[in-house]
Amino acid sequence: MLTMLTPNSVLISDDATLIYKPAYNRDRHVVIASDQDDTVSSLDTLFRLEGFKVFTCNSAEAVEAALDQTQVSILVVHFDAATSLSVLAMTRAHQMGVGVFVIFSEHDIDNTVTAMRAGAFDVLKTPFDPERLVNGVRDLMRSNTLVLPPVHGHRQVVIRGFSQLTPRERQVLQLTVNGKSNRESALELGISARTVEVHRARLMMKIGAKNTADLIRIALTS
Amino acid sequence: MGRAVILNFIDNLDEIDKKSRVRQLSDAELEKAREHLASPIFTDSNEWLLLVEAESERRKETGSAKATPKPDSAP
Repeated sequence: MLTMLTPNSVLISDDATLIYKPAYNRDRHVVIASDQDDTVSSLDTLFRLEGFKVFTCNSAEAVEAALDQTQVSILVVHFDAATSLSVLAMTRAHQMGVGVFVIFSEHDIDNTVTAMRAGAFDVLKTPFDPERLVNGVRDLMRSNTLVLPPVHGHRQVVIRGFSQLTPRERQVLQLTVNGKSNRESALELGISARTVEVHRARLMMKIGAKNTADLIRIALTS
Repeated sequence: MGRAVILNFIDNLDEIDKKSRVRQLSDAELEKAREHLASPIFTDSNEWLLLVEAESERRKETGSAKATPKPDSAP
């Protein structure tokens, strides 16, 4: 639609990817994980109205199965504290780049700190303001790059946005910003180093990076 | 300047999009959505609850009940 409106559409489209639009949500999956029917039905309604595809899970095992089956954008967890934290850790291990929101029934600073350190995007306590959750999701959807908490001194970077890139180009960008050489990226992706070079050249052209350092600068400041 | 105008225009489209999503709900779905959005796990009234209540009010005033649920409509 923007393309029809203005000749500067490429520039505007790039900016528009940073602006949350519910219309983009129809291909994004939200998993609501809770053993409480009231929580599930309320969050299900909220996220469906926001335009997301919603999956509901009533156990940690069901969340794991959902993560195996589909690319999840958002996970909202509301079990007891121990289960919620283990689901958060399991999600981090399964799929990078999932925005995890943890809801606790009891206020506990230790659990909140543990959840945030483990990579939760936000921690809420019931009852909570749904606008805070929705705004958190909007903030998450605006960012193209997600820098995860340090694990063994290394902070993994997840590239999620940059809608102008193909999935393969996004994979190459992610490996590049995580310090992989063309040869290492090729090994990881099961393609030749020359093909990685081609993907990298194309994505640099699309993003407007002059060299690899510039590419990493753009990705990390996005 | 032009870009801001276009983005504002799109923001307005978002509002229209939200209202149209609520309007697509059948009466039963609308009532269920109102119940769910007024759940005790939420503290305050929220944007979607206000939209659902406004639509419910509009249907009562205009008598425009919507009985047929859409197969893929929310929730």
